[in-house]
Amino acid sequence: MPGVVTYSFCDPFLDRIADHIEREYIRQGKDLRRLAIVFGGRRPALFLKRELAKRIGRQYFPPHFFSIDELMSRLVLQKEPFVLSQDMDLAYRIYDLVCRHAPLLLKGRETFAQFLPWAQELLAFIEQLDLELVSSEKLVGVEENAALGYDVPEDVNRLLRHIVVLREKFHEQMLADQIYSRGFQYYRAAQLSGSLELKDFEEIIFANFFYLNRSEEQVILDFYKRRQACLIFQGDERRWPVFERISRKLGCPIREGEQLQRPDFELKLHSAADYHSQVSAVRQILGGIQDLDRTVVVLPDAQQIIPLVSEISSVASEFNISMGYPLKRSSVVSLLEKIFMAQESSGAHGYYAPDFLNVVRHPLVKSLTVGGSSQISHILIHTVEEILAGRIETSLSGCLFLHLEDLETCDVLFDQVREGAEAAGEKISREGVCDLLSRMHNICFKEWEGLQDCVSLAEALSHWLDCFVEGSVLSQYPLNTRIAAKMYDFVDDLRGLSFAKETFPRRDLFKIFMHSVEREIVAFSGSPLKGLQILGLFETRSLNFDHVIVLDTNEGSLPRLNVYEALIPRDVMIGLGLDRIEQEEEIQRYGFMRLISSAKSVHLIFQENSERERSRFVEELVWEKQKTVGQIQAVSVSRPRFCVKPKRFERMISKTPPMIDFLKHYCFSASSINLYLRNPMEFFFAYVLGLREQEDLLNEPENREVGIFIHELFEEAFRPFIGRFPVRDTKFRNDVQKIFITRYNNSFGKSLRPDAFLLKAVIEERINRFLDFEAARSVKQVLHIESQFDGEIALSCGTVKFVYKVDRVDLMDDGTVMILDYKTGSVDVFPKGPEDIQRLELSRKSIYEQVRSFQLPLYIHYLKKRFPGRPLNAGLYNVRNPEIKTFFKESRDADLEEHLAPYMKALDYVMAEIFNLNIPFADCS
Amino acid sequence: MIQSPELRVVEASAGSGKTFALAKRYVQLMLIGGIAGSNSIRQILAITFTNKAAFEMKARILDFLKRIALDLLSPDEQKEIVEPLKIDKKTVRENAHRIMDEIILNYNFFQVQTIDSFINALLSGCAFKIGLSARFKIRHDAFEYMCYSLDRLIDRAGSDARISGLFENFLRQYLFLENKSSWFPKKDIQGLLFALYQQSNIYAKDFFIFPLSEDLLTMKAKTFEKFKRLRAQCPEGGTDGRFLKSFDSFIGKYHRGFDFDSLPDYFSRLEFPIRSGADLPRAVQDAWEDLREDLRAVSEAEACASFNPYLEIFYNVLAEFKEAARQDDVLFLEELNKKAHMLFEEEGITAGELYYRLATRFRHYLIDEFQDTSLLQWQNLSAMAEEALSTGGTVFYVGDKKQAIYGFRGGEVRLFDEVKESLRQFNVQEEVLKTNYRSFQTLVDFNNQVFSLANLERFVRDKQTHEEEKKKKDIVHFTAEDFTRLGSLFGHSQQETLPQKKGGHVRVRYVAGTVLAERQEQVREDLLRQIQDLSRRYAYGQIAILTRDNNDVETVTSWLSEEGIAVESERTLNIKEHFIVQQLVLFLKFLNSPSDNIAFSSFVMGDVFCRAVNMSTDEMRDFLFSLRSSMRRDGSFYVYMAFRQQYPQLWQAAVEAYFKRAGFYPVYELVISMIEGFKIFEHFADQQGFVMQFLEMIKRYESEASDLTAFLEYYEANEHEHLYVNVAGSDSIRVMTIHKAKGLEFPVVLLPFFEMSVRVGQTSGSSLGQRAFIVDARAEKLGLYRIKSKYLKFSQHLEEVRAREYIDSFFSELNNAYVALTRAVEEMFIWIPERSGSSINIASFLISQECYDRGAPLRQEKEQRPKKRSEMEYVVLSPPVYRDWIKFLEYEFEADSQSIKNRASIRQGNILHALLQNLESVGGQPVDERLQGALCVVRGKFPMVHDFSEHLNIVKALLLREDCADLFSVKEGEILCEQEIVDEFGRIHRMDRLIVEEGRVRVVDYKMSAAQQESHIKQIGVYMDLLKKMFPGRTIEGVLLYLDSFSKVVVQES
Ligand code: SF4
Repeated sequence: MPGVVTYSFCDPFLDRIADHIEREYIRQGKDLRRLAIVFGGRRPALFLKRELAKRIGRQYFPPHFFSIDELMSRLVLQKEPFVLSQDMDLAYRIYDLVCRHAPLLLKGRETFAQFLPWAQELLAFIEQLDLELVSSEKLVGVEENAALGYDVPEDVNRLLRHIVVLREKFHEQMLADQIYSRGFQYYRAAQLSGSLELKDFEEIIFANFFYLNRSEEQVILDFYKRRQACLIFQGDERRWPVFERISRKLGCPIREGEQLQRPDFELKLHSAADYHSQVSAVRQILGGIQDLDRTVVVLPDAQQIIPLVSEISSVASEFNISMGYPLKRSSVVSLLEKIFMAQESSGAHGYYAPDFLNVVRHPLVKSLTVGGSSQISHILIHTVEEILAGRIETSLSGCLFLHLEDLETCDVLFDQVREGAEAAGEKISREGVCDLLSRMHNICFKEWEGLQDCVSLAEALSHWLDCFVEGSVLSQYPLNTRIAAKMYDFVDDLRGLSFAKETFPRRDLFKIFMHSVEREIVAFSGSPLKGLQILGLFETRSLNFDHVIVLDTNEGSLPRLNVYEALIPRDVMIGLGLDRIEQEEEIQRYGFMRLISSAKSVHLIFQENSERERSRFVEELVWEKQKTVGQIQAVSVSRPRFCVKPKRFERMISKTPPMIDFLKHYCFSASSINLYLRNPMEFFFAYVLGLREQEDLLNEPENREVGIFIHELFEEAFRPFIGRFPVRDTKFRNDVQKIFITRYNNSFGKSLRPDAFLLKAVIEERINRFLDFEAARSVKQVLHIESQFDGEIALSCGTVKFVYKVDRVDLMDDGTVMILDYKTGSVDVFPKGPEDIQRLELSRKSIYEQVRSFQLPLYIHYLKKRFPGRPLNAGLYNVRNPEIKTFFKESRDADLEEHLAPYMKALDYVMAEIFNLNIPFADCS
Repeated sequence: MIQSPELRVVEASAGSGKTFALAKRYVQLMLIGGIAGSNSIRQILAITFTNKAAFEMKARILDFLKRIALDLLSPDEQKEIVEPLKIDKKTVRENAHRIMDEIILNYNFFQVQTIDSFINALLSGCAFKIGLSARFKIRHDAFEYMCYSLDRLIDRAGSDARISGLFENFLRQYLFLENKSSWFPKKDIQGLLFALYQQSNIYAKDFFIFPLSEDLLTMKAKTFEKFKRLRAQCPEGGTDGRFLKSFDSFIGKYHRGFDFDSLPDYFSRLEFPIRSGADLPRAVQDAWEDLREDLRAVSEAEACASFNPYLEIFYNVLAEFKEAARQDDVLFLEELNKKAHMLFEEEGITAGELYYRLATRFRHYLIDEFQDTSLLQWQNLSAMAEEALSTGGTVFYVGDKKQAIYGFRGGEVRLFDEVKESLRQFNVQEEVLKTNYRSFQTLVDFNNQVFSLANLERFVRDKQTHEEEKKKKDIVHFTAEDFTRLGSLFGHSQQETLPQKKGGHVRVRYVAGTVLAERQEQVREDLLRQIQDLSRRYAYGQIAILTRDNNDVETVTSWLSEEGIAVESERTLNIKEHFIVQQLVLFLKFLNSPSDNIAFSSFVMGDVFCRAVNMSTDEMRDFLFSLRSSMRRDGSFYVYMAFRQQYPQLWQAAVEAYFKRAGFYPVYELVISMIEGFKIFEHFADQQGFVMQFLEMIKRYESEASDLTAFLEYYEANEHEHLYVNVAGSDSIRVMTIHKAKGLEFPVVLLPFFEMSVRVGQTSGSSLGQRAFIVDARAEKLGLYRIKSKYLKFSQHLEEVRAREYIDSFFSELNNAYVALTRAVEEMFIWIPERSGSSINIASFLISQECYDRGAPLRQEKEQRPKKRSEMEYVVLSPPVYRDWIKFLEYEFEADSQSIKNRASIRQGNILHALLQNLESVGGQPVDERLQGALCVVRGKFPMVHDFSEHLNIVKALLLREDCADLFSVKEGEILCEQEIVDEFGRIHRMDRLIVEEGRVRVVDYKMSAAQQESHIKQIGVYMDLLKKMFPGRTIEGVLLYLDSFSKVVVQES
């Protein structure tokens, strides 16, 4: 029955339209196949077919369903053949036209990749002009807005004139090539509309349309005039201005009855602090709903799909998701990005080593197999890393840039890999390793070199995908297969581009490609008609649910608006009748209000914190409620939050007798005790478990390597001069310089630190200053360099073995024996004076804070025995800024014991604690 | 009432109802209408300092309007807001209704926002003009980009002599002049570059590069020669002995250059130090003066030019930085105002164009916190504001000069007065809000006294007297001008209280002692005692402890936690400090790098793992201990391998799945699976918040990169983003810095370290530590100074620069004190330590003894106050049971590599399918014509295929086959392509081809190959069953048509 039908906002649309079909067609015994139904999208058709099956009660031939796009395309194809084009292709057409007809628009963004965002913007604008049938005359005659009190700026008028030209040319091209944009397809449909027919159908129902752009309006109106169309609306023109316009055109009111109907649903608001309390709140709400089949969760932001699904799986076993898994999250894409990056940073010197490593370290590359196992790949890549980082000595070590051939001809690499493989129980020939390496190089690098157009990129990509598909690497992660399939589609897209053979710089090529990949998703399969529905707002069009839960009911998400017009000033857009921002808001408001109006319960969840505020739609509903009850307190807001009991967790590891036994026999160093003072737990890991005994944990990690470097350098330089004092000798200085250069080149020079040259200058300068300082000291001879002494100390807890690693011992002119410890870090480890220590109430913490380091006291204690009767002193030798801080002001001999006593008492205390079975290792980080 | 035009300036001291005033103004403008279009929200722009303030103000405006509309205003509010309008009540109510509806439906134009978001709107609307792209993004991580750009420059130093030259210059400066002690200068450079970047954005100016005629080292070497010459000239016997001694030691210390720090003080004298009675030869005095002139020049050069090498690097890095930003199409938050400035200055955008772009013309401006507005921000607004005023619009700004504490971010308190002076012609109205609505009488009186001009002047004098007595170095004396400034800032500090707010309690304690630890111990004991006492009267949630900096926050937090008192501070709530998060991270670290023995060992010994596998920590400990000898022996010994061998089942059950797949899963899914696998919520239910915050952080970071290595790097480096758990609704004492407390109020405030110390200059990054430089923004270009106190003896210019900076810093300290002392509602406790750092704490001069104890506790015991609505409805979420993503995805996306491998033939099939579908019947028409028609449609679906000839040939061959002819044309009957049948359950079955004839119905399904014929037969059987029911009595036949071989399989009814 052609005509206009209006349902109330509070009605479930699908039920009502099913009623309509039942009454008008099924009961009349009409052939449903002669009925066409056009919805905005595809999803409602599924639901309606199911509903009709219920009513018919047996199998049947359904009516024909169209989405509006399908209808338009079918109509136009009747008259003229065309193919819809990819967006990227259209953007390129625009770019090309701009180059030819308005080149000054390109200023400062000459290449396609640079202009791309603007090409898309221009395209979107032209599309809109087409959809809305805006004439060129209107474009050049935009009138001033009196409210603003200014003329339309001349720049803008000029731009509009350009656009008129661009649009004309664009249309000409599309017609000639039979390649259309979506907007142009609509535009053509509207132009041809008078002569378009759908003879297969007796009647066409246009169901649940809201905003109609002018081309849609034109087409539908023509069917309506031919009395072939039935228009079913939901809502009322008194509430929705959009309907007013349509009703004027149709010459027929769109009203849901005498009065506007008031929806009657239970409204609950939930104010959450963040993402996760939102999704947790959803779970809690779902837990209280019986009928999940009649429930929808609306998720405006697809980003949140993973947290949501994680959260609700325990309460909703079956659900259907309209969103998908973002391609960007996959390891396939992440590897691709790394490959692109390596290509971009490569140049005449070869590949930039850090970027090269990023590629080969990627798990997908590591899992390339040889004879079914990926172990060799792991070993190979590990070895490459070791070589580049300078931990395995080769000519490649430490180079910032490398050529692939250099690796492929590196004997050390092959030998190491084969050794490693053997140790792991794998056998591989040199050729085998060679093959694997060149395979890796091919897949990850060589194939990507010299790309210059989309065709070559497509080739590279497709071959690259083949390699991974063949190697069955992808099945490690199920999603990857799907992603690969999607990537193959991209390959097809690339090949299909009209500008596929156009030459681009590599960087632009990657950019263009990633541009498409970025927004792509892999759909979840789900079961469209069963269980909980998780949909975007747009996907809920025409559907109805008893329970509606909306997430992210926040400004910025709902409505989701692009609030800015970057190209054409917003006011000019309004002047052209194209206020897409307001329009879009109205469409979303309609969708949202329609969905909740027929529900029984509605839960709106939003984030409220310093960044986000609740949606205007919430404000609207709240205000409605407040008006109704005449009070401010009208809607309750619950605040979901997580359980947080901030408390201290003291981690302890208790000791065992075998441990005590071990410790009693252990030979302690000053550093081990210092580490214990700082944090017994660290001591436990480092020394009791033996995990990092060798390392100097007390120094900042950054400085550790420098510390080692300096120590080794000084050792090598001074060792030959034990018993003498060489420093004032020029030759010695030159030798030190040489040793420095050699050592530097073999260590930092080979690391991958690009800033190593800064370090070199700094170390060199400091060594010079150090030597200047040395020269001024009154040293008679150097007695020891990097010596290790053992000894025992009788403490109250028994005799403890100690090892003393002394950097240097000097005999001074005045006969003092001076023990020195080079200090390269910045941590202050100089002990407080004996009076302070004497006064101390002993505890691990107080000793840590006051004694700080047992190094100097222990050295003195030991050397006193070794050099009996000699005056002694010990000092920290600051290498950064040459200076020696001595333990005693003046060297001491006779009263030395007395001065040392407080420290030994503290030591005694610490050791007793270490050996005490009942005091666990506590975590004091 | 409101006039046209009007510039209204409101001074609002602490607690005097600033937000109320703003919201009132907005509502009145709307209600009154008629003034330059003031009845439309489109024409009003309200600017706040933070998002939070904007949200609050919006809420307040809506609240007023609603209550006016619903007639729910209190009599006081009625009097304040509505009555002055002189509009009858009914009209006002109707207007309020209308305005509410307008706002709701035009929310985009409800423009209450921060200056940054307004500027963002401006720039977005003008993106085309200023060379941005249409979709640029605003980012907050300029520092990371800066570091990246510096790295790029460093990379290039290897191959580019010009660039390596830059770094050589820098190193010379770094090592010789600044005598820095770090090994890795990069960090220092990063910190300073970023500080420079921020400064250049605050002022939108370039830096002044101090011109040097020769390099600084040479300059100093020459001066050093003069020292030596002077030494030779010193009259033997006539020269002051002590001077000579220090002079000799100075000269002896150096070879070429010298360091100002060791320059003897004697050189600050105007005259050569001669022994009394001795003769001073003219030549010696001349040399002396000449040398002093040199020292002036050198000190000024050193103070300024020491930045030159950094600046050169800076501008080079900036070029890289801009390129990187352009590539990524981003704009940084810090640059917004600078960019907008360019829009006005360089692009010369007109007001008209701006209005077209914003689709609105503002006529009324409301600006909050005006004292913290920067010059640049004001410049960006001023043209529009002036235009509004000159056409009858209004500007309303409000603020409190006493609370200007954002000077370091460019806040210019002087604008508060200057703007109003410069716009005098537009009917300036000034207003001071005198009533304090926040605090009780005693507290207001206390502050009235402390911040009275008399007391402040006394404070300044006492401080100076003290400094003189102590012979402090570099004393800066208050000038008359400075006293005027003091008057202008604090002239309106006296407040009145509400009559119902009688009483209140203030207590001050002076904490003597020169040793920090001792003072802290005193404060600690007293503070804890005080809190214990307070806890009888107040809930913890009503108490706040405010400190100057984050170190103090940490100190106080640990004091309270040790006592088992619930604390809410950045320290307690940091997830990085939480054991579950730490252990999860350890596990991730191990997965990322299995050779990390520490990570693995710590993890398996931790509670998370041990409880998950139901094993005692002790057993793990003993196991690990047993590995000790192997660990020591073998450098490449991996603990996890030993574990795998020892506990194969545990490995398989709890580790293997992660170990094998870690790299392939996004971090989020991996962690979710771990939480599920280790049953974390089951074992640690009350710690859920921390784990959720960890997930939140992962999720937020994900848009950057989801790979494990990148995540761990981010995690290690992350020091502030999304690290803090939200504990709103829990009853705990809040500990925070005074800066963070600005704008907040608490029933009880404790200030355990009430200190003031004037520090001169800006900090830069963490590595450079102390105040690194002074910025002088007054000239065309930004001047940079690094001032040592020695310089001041020689250069008056530097002395002035420093004095100015000192005074600014002094006022900002005073303002900080004002903010601190005005947060409390009922009770306030203050501890004033004797010292601040190594110098005297001047705060002790600010609060004089007679103020120390005032009033008494207001309450005797905890009141059951009616809770605010917002506190009421907290719902504690129960922990979820997570899905194991690894399993779920495996199921959801079951590996289907077969179809990928066969994709070429699958596509082939699809094309043939599509062609056949579009051939409804070939009867009559020539085959080729029909095929071309079908191709038209098909081509659109396969744009990547250029050549369809092969497909067409296949189809054609098929059509010409005799045994298939009756499938493609029938005499009598109907051919349906792609026909759907919906079964009784609503399931949809789509048939490739349905041929309906008089006595029989045939259904045809095209298949590519016969490989899975059985399932094909089964499927077609389903169709046949349906058809049987739809066409009772007719023969139903199924046909499988294999397109690879053209073979036909006919399935008969069973
Ligand atoms: S806008 Fe002006 S400058 Fe740009 S292309 Fe058009 S006419 Fe040329």
